[in-house]
Amino acid sequence: MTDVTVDPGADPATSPEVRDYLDRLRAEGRQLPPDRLDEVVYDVRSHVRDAVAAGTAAGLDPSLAARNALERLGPPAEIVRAEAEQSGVTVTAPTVGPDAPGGLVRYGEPVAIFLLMFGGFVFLLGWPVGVCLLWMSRTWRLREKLLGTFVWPFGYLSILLVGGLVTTTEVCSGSSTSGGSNTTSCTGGPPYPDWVGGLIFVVVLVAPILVAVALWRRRQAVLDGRAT
Amino acid sequence: MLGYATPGTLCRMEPGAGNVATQLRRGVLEHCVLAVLARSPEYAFELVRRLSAVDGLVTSEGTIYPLLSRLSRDGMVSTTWQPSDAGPPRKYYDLTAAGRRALDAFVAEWSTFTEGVDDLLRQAGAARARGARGDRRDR
Repeated sequence: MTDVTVDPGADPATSPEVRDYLDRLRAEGRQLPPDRLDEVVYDVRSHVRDAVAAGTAAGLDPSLAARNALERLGPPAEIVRAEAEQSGVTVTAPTVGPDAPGGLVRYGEPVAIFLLMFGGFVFLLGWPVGVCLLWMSRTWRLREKLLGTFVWPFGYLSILLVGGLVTTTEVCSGSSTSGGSNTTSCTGGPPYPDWVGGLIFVVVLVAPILVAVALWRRRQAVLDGRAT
Repeated sequence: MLGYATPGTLCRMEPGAGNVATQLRRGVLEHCVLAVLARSPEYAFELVRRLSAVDGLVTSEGTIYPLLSRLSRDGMVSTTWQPSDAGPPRKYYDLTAAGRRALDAFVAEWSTFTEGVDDLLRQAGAARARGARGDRRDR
């Protein structure tokens, strides 16, 4: 049994070409059952890692070794076809739509994350489009979709509007002098101290960022084959 | 054309050596995987490399992985994870008893099959040679 030494520091999947290849494999294989697709991506990724290690051991430049490995692996569509054939799954070749290679996965999902945060500023319509992209994606699970939808509806636009309302509904009825002291009575303001309001504002402001980070991390995990 | 079988229902012959190679590859590749594993367990990359060394057997190395998964699901091969000197653990493939039986059956079939085909091809070659000699005499 021959063995190939792998450099633990060299993960070929970090090279743009390999990442792009794995992205395309994920995109092409979105009609496969998720467990089948995850296994294929994992196997291919391991293959590239071993091939790069073998290539560099033979004196090749790592990026050249990675390119050779990808070329020998063949087009991602061919691997997906082989997987579909072996698992008895019918796969139609998508050319448009969310399952199209280079479609929703590569561009739609980052756009969705952006629109969920700032889509409200695009004539209010950007946010619903972001929600549609969010729910069309097979990358995110139900809990991520619910989070993306409800934190917060219309994203930062709603924060701006609600924040504006809260600060403008406080009405102060002027000042009067009684016994040498100035008193100002205000009505309609929030029923909590200012610091609580500040804390709520920060949480409300940060929540969409945390949700966006969670969505992005899930996407990366799926693309890297680390998620099921 | 009622009553006639559609030509090519069982085996559609299309021109081109590439198609012949594809059909042959499709039929024998999984048994070649079993044959490689009959020698010793292998991790995937090495297994693919051994298969690729046979001219024309593997056109896209990536397509071996779905085949390996299916063989594993069918119980023809087993997989184990073994630590590697460096890097993440590797998936090793080994032949199961069922895989060995399938390989033995294939080896027996293959010998009979190839002998039969070789015989037919030899007869066809001899007939062509006789025809060529006849043509020369006629001229």
